[in-house]
Amino acid sequence: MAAVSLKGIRKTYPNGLEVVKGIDLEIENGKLCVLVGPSGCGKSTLLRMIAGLESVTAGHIEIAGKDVAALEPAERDIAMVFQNYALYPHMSVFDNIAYGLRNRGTPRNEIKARVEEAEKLLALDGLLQRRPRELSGGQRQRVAMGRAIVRRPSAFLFDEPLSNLDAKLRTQMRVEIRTLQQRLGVTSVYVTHDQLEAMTMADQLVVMNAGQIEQVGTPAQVYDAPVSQFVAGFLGSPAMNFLPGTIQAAGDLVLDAGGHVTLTGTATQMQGQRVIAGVRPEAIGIAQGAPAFTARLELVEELGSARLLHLRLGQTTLVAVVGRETAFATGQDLPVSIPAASVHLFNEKTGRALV
Amino acid sequence: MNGHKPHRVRTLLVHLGLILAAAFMAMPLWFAFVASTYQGGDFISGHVGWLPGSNFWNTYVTTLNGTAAQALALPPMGSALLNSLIMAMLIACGKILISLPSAYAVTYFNFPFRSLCFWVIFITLMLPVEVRIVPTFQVAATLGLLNSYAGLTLPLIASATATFLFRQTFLTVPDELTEAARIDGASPLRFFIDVVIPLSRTNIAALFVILFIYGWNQYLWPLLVTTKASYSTIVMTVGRLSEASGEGDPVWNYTMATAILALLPPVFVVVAMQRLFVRGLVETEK
Repeated sequence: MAAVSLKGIRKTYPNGLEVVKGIDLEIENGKLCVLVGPSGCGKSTLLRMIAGLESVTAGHIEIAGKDVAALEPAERDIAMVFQNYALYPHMSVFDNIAYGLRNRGTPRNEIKARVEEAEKLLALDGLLQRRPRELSGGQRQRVAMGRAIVRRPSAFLFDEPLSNLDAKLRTQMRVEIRTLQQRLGVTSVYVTHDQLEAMTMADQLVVMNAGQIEQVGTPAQVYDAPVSQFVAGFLGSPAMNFLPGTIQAAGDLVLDAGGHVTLTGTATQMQGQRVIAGVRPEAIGIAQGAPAFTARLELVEELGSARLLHLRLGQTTLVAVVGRETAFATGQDLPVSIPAASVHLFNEKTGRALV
Repeated sequence: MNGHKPHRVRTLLVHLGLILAAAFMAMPLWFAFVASTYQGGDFISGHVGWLPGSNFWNTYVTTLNGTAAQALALPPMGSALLNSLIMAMLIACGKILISLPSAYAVTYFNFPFRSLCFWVIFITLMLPVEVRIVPTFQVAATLGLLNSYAGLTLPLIASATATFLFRQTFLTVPDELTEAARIDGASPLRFFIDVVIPLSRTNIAALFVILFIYGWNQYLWPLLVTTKASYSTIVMTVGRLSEASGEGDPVWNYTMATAILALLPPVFVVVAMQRLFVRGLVETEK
């Protein structure tokens, strides 16, 4: 059974701006679903509609099999973690976590037991009497999590919860949230604009663009078989390289910038078609096999574990990830090979994947 | 070491300037105090200098034990101080208690004519008691509020300043807190009591200080609305003393002593709440 089910959700603001344009989505029980997309794509609005903080213009929302359209946020059996944590600054950590339970009339000893359980789970030992301003960013984040878990809701909603943390802490909290979510097995909807966060945390990845869902799948599915140029370019860092060209003879893609890429499979039947070839930086080979073209090396970025090569081919630039075995000097002309299996083809006009 | 010298000279000059400015501001108070330590007649004859006279003990004892007021057929000091205290407290507390919910309503709730309501409240800022004193007196008289604490305070309680200030405070409370409270199942009233009021604590304190002094210093309205001596306030007493002349000489020593004594409660309130008061005025982080 789907724990959260969205059918035909739309949101139009009074000024006529439509920010969510018909969303259908089923989130399975116990899974973590990540809504990812650029800012303004409607992902946060969608989450806030699930929470009941934003009115729904059209469509149905069900949480745990119950239509929640007419319910207040507090009655929807959800808990939310906000971007700025939204902790009550004048209350102690204990009171912050207990506030939702008190409002529901939970017995005092039950509240105490649940808060102490959260304290252990989230490593908040000895911090219960402190005020939020006396805590570090990571600790505040954990308190916000604690406030969510003591309620034992049907679903957690996360609204960009890590974007206020520094990079190192973000990586750490990412793991913590994911571990905790799996341990508790609570269905979660997680909104982020960070593709790395989306890829690493999701059971179900939903890529959104301009108020619509572009693609739904596991992170691996979406990464390996993006349905559009938008998805392909959004996921992965460094981003996928896009090279426009025309398919001339069977299986021979002639790039506008110069050079030939050999294609296989159904692409061989698309003679004369204008396409955009997408190639991930890690798929590009340097001085291996038959070269597709020769490109000038403009810049080398050292990552420690690998190197990023910035190459120029005519007017286009592309990025390749290579190991550290070979040293390259900038200004060199390098033979670049592109394996046929790693090429994604997109319609030049619509941006949809061809295959 | 030489490099420090001009720095130290500058600091010294700045401090000297500040001390002089403070002394300048304090001068009238000092003269009021000095005048209260001489005989009543000395003030007019010009015998009063920079230093206190020898009559300090005598003036303050007779002012405080009421013999001075009695001799001039004026209401006793104690009851006037008490009346002023009651009036100032009622005005300060009354304004705060009414303004908090009204500011909460116009800030957090969407109801028809909300901005109209706000502007109507706001416009009363332009109509203080002094401007509408005749009609207000008429209303108070018709309602039978003359010579009562209600009459002393009610017309001064109704005003927009506090509502306006609280609205500005509430606007700085982040929206996410409101949303978190909604998800936490807090009703609007609970959110008001549990979150909004505690977060406005310093602003409430600052406003209390300002309103207490405002209430304490009222002169014109109490003068109009009370005729019985038992409702006389300390500020009114100071006014009457300056006009009274007992056995011929104006009693400047008693007038000044009463003025000094009338000053002490507001000063006490400011000093007691200074820390919160300053934080309320400068604090922006919520």
